[in-house]
Amino acid sequence: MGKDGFIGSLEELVLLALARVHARGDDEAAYGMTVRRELEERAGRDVSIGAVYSTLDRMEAKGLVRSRLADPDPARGGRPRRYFSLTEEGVAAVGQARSMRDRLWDGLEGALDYPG
Amino acid sequence: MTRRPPGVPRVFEALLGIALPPEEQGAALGDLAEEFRRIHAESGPGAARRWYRRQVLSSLRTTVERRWWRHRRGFSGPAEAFSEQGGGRMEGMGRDVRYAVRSLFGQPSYLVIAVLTLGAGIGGTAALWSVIHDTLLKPLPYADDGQLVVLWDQYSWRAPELLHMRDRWDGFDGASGYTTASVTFRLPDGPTSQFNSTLASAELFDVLGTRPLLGRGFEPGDDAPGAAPVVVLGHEVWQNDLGSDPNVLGRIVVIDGEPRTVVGVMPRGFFFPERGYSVFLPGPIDPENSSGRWSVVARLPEGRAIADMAPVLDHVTTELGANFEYPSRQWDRTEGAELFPLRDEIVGDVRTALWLTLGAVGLILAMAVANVSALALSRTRARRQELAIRIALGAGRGRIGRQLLVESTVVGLLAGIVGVAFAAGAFQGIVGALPLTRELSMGLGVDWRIFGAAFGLALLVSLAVGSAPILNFLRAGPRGGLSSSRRVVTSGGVLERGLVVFEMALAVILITGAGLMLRSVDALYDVDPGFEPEGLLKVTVTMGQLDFPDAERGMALEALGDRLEAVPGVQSAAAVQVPPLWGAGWNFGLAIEGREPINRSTLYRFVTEGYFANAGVDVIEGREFEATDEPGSTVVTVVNQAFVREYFADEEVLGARIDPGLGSGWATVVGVVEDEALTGLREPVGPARYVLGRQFSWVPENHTFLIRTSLDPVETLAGPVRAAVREFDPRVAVSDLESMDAAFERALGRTGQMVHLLTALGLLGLVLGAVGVYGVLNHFVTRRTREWGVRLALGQSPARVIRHIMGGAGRLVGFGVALGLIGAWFGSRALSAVLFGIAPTDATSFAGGAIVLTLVGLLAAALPARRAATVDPVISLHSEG
Repeated sequence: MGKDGFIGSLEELVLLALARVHARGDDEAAYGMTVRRELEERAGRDVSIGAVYSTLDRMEAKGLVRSRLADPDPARGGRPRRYFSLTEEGVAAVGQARSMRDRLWDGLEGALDYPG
Repeated sequence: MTRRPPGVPRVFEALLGIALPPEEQGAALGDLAEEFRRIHAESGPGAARRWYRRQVLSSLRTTVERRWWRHRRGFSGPAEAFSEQGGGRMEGMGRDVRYAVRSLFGQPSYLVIAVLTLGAGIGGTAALWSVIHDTLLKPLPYADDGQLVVLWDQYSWRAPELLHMRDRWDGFDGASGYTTASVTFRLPDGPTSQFNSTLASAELFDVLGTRPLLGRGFEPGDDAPGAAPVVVLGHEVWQNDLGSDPNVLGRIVVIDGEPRTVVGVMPRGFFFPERGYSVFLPGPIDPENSSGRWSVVARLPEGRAIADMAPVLDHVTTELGANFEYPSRQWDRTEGAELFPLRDEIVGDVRTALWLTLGAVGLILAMAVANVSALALSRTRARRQELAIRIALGAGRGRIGRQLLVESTVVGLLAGIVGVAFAAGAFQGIVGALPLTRELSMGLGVDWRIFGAAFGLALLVSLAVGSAPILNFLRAGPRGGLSSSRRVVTSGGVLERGLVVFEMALAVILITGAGLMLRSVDALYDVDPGFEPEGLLKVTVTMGQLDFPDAERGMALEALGDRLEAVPGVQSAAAVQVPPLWGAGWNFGLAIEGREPINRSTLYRFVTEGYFANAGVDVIEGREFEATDEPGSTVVTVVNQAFVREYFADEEVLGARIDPGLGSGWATVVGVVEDEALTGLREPVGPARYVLGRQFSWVPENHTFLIRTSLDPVETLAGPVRAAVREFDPRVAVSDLESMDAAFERALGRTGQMVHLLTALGLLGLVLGAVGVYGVLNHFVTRRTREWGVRLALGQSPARVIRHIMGGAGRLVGFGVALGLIGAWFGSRALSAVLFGIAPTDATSFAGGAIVLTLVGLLAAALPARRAATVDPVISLHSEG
């Protein structure tokens, strides 16, 4: 979280994508590439794996997510997966971001004409 | 064990692996591999690989940047915008570039000075480096050329020695005799031209280790007198004169009037012994001809160096001593045996001059760097307040650092473009201004790899230059910047001042060097050449041996002289075997009737009638050659004053008889002429004798006509002269047509050629030095506007303010000049090889350099000082400067 307690938009997107993967009930599914895929399929954002890790790493430093390394996986060339999950602060941060957005949107329905 | 799934682009994987922090490599690369397999299965290998490459490339920047921040702060990034993909990140960069450009163009004087000085320095260095690389460093077109050596006493080995040693070069991996000659060349039905040719023994190409492109080289026996006449052509001749004919082998070309069969063509770029030698003839090595005209090139066995060859040389001298007699110490081949690297023989003494020039250009580059550094420092200092405010308003320090870096990069890019343009545009000019022989400057070209390197250098230099103020600023932090705006600045600027002192010192070195060269050239101009070069056109004619039999050439030359005198605009024309200022040329032993043989060779020159009057060489005693000196009448000779001083100091020379050594018997001295600078301007004139060609049964194939005319410029005659020679006999080849003035300029030698370049560099140094002093003092004065205001408000007189500033500037300039004089004192030793008539520590040059730089430095300081003294106290106290 920034000094002001808000998160940036890419951080918000990554947190939401991570939450969506988790919401599907499979803890073993939440790692960098699935988050990236979720962002691409759901939000239409083609984000590089480097940027995803960079964001996750930064959010881990801020205490918004945590990660653990699994055992090496032969199917991945003997490399481990790094699973991510939201912390309470992370959940609070996306919630706060949403309510901030909602407050800003409040009363704008019908006033703004936007595509899609 | 790590096992990659099939097909992952390994280079890209490795690339990202290097960029990623070690603890993250596994997870990230594993993710990529897993996804790669999925896409591979779904969309095929091509799509998967494309996807993989795109992922790696777009991840690289974020990853590298993250590591940088992690390194500095322990976590990933300063602001989210930096790590976002695509638009956001690039927009940030775009903003920085736009900001940098705006900021730079806001101060065009800084931009222009920085770009031009850096560009000129870098372009000049790159161009010179190209030349040095080509002439001094590039491998010669021979196998393992470091093993090739030339044996002592060049162009003086005799054919019998070569033939005797032929199978006795034990300890060498082969050796070959060679010499050079100017020959006429034509296709059987074509026009005649003149070429430089190499005559060599049959072993030449084996020793050099170069195989012909077409056909063969020489074969054993090719070099024997009477062997079937063959020729190996250089690539240029094949290309230009034979239209790259693929069926050239077996064709006939006529060389010196003799039809020869083409048996081989050498590859492009091959030359020996110098560039421009394009016709290779085998011998003939005639055991009956014992004139010393051959050189020997040999190959050292692999792994052996020149220093290891002493026993082998002993063997050679013993062998020679046992089989030949050397009555004259001068030509005693058992003495002074030595080997010289072939490269040194080819490059000659140009080496010193080239490195010197590069040194001078390097000084300019150093000055440019110092200049721009000082300016950049001043600029950042002046902007400290602006930057501090931006930081206070929330701009990250990293961001500001990055913007300053982008500014440097923009300057570097522009300087690189200017440098490359400068070097490419001025390359021929630079080559022309260099002290290169015509042979050496052949085939020199712009080396684009070096220009690429120059471009990189421009970037590096400007980044280095830019980083000093950035570090300075980041270290000092914003507080220093803000507070400094509220008080009188008294500190800082030590680095700038140091740079200016450094710059002044370099400028003094350059100007002093240029002064030394100018004074040398002056001294050379003062040398009396003994003839009158003004109004003389010189043209070399070659009469091939078979086209013009020996006995006829002397008369043919006289007839050609008459024909040339009939050309409109020609006052007189006469020929000499070797033109003045050309070099030693031929010399033979000398015998004087009634004396012991003189074991020293003496210069001699074949001339045609009227040579001395035509060339403007005064007759001191007796007479010059006249119409009565017919073939068959008494053989006569004319000697120069140096000859009289050397051999007839106490005796009457007129009427004495000397042996010209040409089988003609005694020749009577009938005249003494003024010492003509035969070999060059730098050497004293040696004893010389002249003979009239038509009195001899043999004269050389080459002669140079000096044609006196009132036409201006004398080159106007070039066309008519060529036409007249062609009309006289199309088998006569014409070459080296130029004014004698041009030959005179060339005779000034490396000194004359380098003087223009060094003077230009000296002047450039002067300008750079002045700009540096002005720039730094200007900033110094501007920064302290308040201080001047306070001083003036408190009643200090403007004159005192000026004195204060000029005093500071004087110390700076004085210190720089003193340092420069010390540098020049050491540096001038390197110049001594090209100086003439003055000592390397010539006081006039040193004093001149010091005075000029002091004046220029103080003048550059006077402008800002005057401005400080005219500051309005009220305005200055309101200013935040």
